[in-house]
Amino acid sequence: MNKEMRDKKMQGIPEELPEPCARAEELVAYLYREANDAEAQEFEAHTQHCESCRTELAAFAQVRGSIDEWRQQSLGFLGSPALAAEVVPALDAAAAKQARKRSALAALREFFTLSPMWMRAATVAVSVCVCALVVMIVARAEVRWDASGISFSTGVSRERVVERTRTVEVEKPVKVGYSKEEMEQMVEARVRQERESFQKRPAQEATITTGTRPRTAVARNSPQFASGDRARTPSQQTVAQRDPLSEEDLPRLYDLLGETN
Amino acid sequence: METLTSDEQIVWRALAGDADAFGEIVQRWERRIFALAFGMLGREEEARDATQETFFAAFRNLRSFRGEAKVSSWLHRIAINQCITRQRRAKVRGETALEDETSSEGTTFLAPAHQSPAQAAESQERTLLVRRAVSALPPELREVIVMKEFEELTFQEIADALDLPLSTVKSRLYTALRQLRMRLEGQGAEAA
Repeated sequence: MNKEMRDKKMQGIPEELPEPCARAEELVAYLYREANDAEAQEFEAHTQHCESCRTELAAFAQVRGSIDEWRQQSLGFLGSPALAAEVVPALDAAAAKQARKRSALAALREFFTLSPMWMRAATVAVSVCVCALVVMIVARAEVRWDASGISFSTGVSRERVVERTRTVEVEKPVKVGYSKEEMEQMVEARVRQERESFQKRPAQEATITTGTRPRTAVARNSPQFASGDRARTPSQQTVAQRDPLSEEDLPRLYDLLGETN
Repeated sequence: METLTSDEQIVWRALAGDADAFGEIVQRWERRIFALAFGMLGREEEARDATQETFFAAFRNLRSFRGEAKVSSWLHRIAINQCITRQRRAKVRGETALEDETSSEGTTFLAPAHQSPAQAAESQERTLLVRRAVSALPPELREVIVMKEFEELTFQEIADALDLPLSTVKSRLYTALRQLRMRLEGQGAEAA
């Protein structure tokens, strides 16, 4: 044995074996008794002439014997109930959990099958209401019913669902509180009043007071008339010189409206 | 051994809602799945955890079982994946199955009653050597040798479980046996 081979031996490196025969697969099949009768007889005949196969068959048989010895020693103490006792209950628990799920579903299905129609409808309606309530709570929904209508909001945006029609204020030709007939009555009463007062006053001087524009009627033979104080409108004539019932003397409607403001 | 058809019937019952059906699957297959896990991982506690996880995963994915593969192949595939995942985690943590040899959590060996103490010690020594050799195999070789030796599955069942061609399974098994022979002969000669 040379130095190299001694080193390999000390390091546990196996030595090289002779080249195997090309019928390795047949050898293995024969070794493990998986060859059929014809193949087995044929290989036996081969080993009569092939020393390599004959040597390997013997060596492999020893290896198998060692492995079998190890197997017998190792597995002889195995307690099957221990493994089964640990694994099976865990699997049973998992299977029971699945069965519970199935039984709950089966119970629900049975309830809907056996219960009358009204009960099913009531159950569905209650479920829908509960779901809607939950959705509204989650979405922070808000429903308001006030004077302006019903409004629904979800905390994100506000929406007005129902609105009352708005009342549009139209500008009236007459003031609030006085109708047309009332105004005419007021005008007639005022005119009557002015006539009466005008008739009762002295002929020389009579003042027709119409709101903010007082007018003084001056007689022609009065000193004021002679002084040339003629700064007066045509309406500032003496009532005696004119027809007290003339159109010009009548207070104008505009002035009367101004007083009543 | 129960027929594969009965295993499938049990699975269909479990899918139909029978709570006890999957428990039957567990009781039928726990020993074999544990043997597979133990052969892959080398530790009793790891193998037990991997076995539990295998059945939990199978239960969770029961609805994905379409009946195209056999129940046994389906369970073995899940177990192999669980073991490979655990081995990767252990590798990241720097742990190996051999570290438990001297610890109290290591595998307990039950020596046959007819063996003498010397024979039992020798037997344990050989077992330790073969454990080392199997642990040293690459994962793709380790899984085929464990499924064949510990589970006693046929080549076709291994091919179905690992989704491999039949010839690939035989080839890998031959390579695994060859490497085990090399290591055991080398360790045996070193021990001598």
